[in-house]
Amino acid sequence: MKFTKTHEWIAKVGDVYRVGISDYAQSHMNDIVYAESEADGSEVKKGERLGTLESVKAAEDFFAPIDIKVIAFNDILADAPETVNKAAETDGWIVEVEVMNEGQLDELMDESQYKEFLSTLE
Amino acid sequence: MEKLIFEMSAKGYENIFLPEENLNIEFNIDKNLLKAETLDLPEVGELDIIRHYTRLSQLNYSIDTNFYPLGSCTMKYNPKINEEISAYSEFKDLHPYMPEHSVQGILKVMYDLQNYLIDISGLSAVTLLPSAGAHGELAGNFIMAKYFKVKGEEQRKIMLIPDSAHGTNPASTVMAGFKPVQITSDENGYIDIEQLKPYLNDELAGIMITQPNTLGIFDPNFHIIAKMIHEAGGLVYMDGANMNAMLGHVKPGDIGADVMHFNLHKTFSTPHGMGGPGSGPVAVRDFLVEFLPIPIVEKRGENYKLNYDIKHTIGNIKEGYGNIGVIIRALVYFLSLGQVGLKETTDIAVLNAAYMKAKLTKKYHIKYKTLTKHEFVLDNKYQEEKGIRTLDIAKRLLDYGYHAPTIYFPLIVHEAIMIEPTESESKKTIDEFIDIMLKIADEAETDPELVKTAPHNLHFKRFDETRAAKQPILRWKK
Amino acid sequence: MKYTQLSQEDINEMLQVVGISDIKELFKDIPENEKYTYKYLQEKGLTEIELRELFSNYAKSDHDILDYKSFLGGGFYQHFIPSIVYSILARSEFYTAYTPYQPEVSQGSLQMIFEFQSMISEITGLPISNASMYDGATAFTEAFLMAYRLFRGKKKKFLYAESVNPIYKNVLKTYMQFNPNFQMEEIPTRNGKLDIEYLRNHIDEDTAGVGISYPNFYGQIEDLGEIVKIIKDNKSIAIATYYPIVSSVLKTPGEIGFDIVVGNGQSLGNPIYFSGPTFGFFSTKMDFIRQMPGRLISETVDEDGKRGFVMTLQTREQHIRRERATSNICSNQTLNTLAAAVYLSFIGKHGFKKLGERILKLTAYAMQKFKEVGICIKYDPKRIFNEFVLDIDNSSEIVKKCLDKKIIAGISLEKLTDENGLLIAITEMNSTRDIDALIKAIKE
Repeated sequence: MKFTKTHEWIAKVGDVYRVGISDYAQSHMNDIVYAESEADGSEVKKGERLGTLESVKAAEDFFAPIDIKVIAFNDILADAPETVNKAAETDGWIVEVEVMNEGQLDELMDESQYKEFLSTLE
Repeated sequence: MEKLIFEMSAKGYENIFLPEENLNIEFNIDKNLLKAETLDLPEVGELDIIRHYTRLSQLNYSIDTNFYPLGSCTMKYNPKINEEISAYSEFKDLHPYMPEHSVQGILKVMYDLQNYLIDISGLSAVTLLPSAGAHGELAGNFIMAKYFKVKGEEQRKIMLIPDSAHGTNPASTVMAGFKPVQITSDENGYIDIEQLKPYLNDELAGIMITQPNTLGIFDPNFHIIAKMIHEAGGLVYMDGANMNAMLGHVKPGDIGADVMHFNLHKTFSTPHGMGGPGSGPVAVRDFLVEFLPIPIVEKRGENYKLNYDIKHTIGNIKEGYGNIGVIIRALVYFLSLGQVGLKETTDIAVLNAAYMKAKLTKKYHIKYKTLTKHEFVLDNKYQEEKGIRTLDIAKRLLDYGYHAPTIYFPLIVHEAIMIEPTESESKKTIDEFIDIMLKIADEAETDPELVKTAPHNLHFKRFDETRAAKQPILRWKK
Repeated sequence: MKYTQLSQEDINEMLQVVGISDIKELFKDIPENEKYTYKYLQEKGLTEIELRELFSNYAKSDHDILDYKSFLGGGFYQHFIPSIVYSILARSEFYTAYTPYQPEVSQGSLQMIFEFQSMISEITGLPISNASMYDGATAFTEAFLMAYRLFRGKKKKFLYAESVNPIYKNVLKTYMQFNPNFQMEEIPTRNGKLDIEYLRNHIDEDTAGVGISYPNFYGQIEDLGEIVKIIKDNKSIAIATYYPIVSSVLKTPGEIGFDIVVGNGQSLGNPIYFSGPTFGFFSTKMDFIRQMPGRLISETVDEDGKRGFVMTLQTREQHIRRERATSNICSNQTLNTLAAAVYLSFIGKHGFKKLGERILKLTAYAMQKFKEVGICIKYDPKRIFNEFVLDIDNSSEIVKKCLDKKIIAGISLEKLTDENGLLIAITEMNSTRDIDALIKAIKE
């Protein structure tokens, strides 16, 4: 699992990659009531908006960790968007993607680097 | 708990309102256009309807019952003479297509209000068409866009907007094709001038500034900023939501604004009506008059006319001529106060706020120490240590019978508490509110749970807004 | 007049607390303004005695036009307004309340708006309705912008019927003119109705939405079913602007298949007020809710499980989403929706149907009488609800002539549309006697 400074993660699960937001990021949002992403098949460049998570009084964008193409949105979130709150880094993944350039993965932080990064934030 | 009006129906009941008319005639209309069923509307008698809506009204908080310290909303007294006059049948029953010679009175009302707004804007012409502040912003942005189009400078797309702005500013400007760029404030709460400099080029469309800003701070550099924007070929839009802090003291046109909107439902005492109708007239500098939306009222000789012949008009922005009922109320207000009363309005609004701020800052933190005008923004920094959020303070105020101030806005103050007392309130009312605010600060120290779990004394506890967002129920169904 | 409440003693005491000796010091950051002079406003305020006298004079100078019999329509219609509407509107707990941001102390407004949303959904035949837009024309425009968002900006063409109210079309054009992405195309009118073949040939995969009027500006009811089918087959959004009184007897646009239904709600309990304030209504399907503009009120429960109402899905709105909001609308026309809620409660399920039938009968009466005196009504008489065009080519002269008889005959189309004619609207406020007088005045 690799992390970005804007608190997204990307990880290989089986044959595909999944993208979500980190547990740290979800803890800074109230109950998530809605999740949406760019449409299946969209290509999104690193750092561009990949989708939005909404609580009652806030809408937070999340961004593509690297260049990707959206394969599928996590259906569970359509009925149970709070899954992101409950399990941000497992069942609460948001989109399955195709990675356009695997080399970019190396530019991201691994888990321990991300932890260290978080400790500098507060 | 009040039932829904639909739940009060007696099956088959109807009120009688159509006079007898002996019409032995068949419908002409194609039968397959007719529908089979009647709509599910209420079946309730007159008295029960009156009781239902009267009881609903009593569940509301309103200016006429209590102090309403909502920052940024200017919840001032709505004079009753405004209501009386605006309800004259000779105004409210006019149809927009009645012949011009027969509606001279209402056209004069509109013409006079245009002029009084010109007076206090320091600009050249006014349109009364916009239905609300945001609608005025949109009209103003259309005017700016058309100006650049006619001038052949359509590449000017960058609209600078301070981070303290109302959300309507960026939302309106994108609808006119501009690209909002956020400018941050400095430690005084002023616009950071250095940040403007990279944008002073031929892609700059202009800047939208709320003056005084949503912190209640009058930016003394406004005219300097305006000069910089003008020299770069851009235009200066002033959001006039806070005009209650400027009447009789300074005119937007004199400090460099080219376009601005008023909120008649804030500054000029027309009621907020649970969310509307408002009215958001727009004033423009001389070189923008030829872009105004149509129609505007003009006087030719002794006659008032609706003028549709405006050279580069942006076009129609709404049906008809404006929210006329609101416009009449604002004109009555202008006339009832005159120059003297308008200035006094601002003087007292600012004094009330200054007094309240002086007393409340003993126990509440204020981020910006700068001089403020008609409103000021506190936060929960002192109470936060006890785990108390601004929302808790707001809900505790409800327990004491006060509407909460505006909270969590402006966004540049973490956990903001934005208070605007207006000129309407007596010292007694203000003192009582101050006492309660200080009492809540004490409670936060001694009994934080009491504050965190408020409200306690109301008919309702906190509502489940998460459920409403996830599974909205937006209508009654049988 | 004076609306402040401080005594000089209060002021002195307050200045002392603030730590200043003169109010002027609170304005020391504003440069002394020598130029602050007034060109128009007088120095002193007026008293109530003077204000009443002044405004009665303005009111009187509005002629005796209210004594005239009127057949004006064109988007604003004279309808009966029950006395209880004005009585409830005068309750200042409603009109002096702000937007219901604090639900615990705003249940009156919130429940009222919820009831209003429910009634509008009945009238449009679509499941969700917002808390109001400014008017019909801006609602119509917002419907197109919503259609554009529904396709994530991938479809850029908007088709609208020539037969839509000219002001609605003009507002639409105003809003669209600064976005080079949008393509607008007008569907011409043939025989008073939208040219179906033209629609069929010009709708394409790039078409986001098609907007028509029900009934149209000429009073004609379009071939709605066929229009909707063409739009649906093309996977575009079907938009209708709607005269809500029609729902009393005719099929609702939702039932016919429209995706977004908007209109001016003035007819529902609001005085015409020389064009405003009225309100715009806006209904759509549940699937489209995320792209809807304007406020929405939802039922929910409080911590004790008691039913109550809150503003919901605010993340669509400008105060949260700023430049990415579904609309810039903030203040709307809620007080006018209160008038509509009280009006529809009073008129009621059965009264509303009778109202529609009365209007249909009076219209049939008028058309028959015109026929008897040899004045032709343009277009298809079987597709008229309450408004129709008289086939006369000197309409502005006729209007003038009738004014002498204290009758406002209708709207001359001479300058408004391509074809001349006189647009006449009939409502329950016109008696058969009024109609007879109108015909006599035109015929003379």
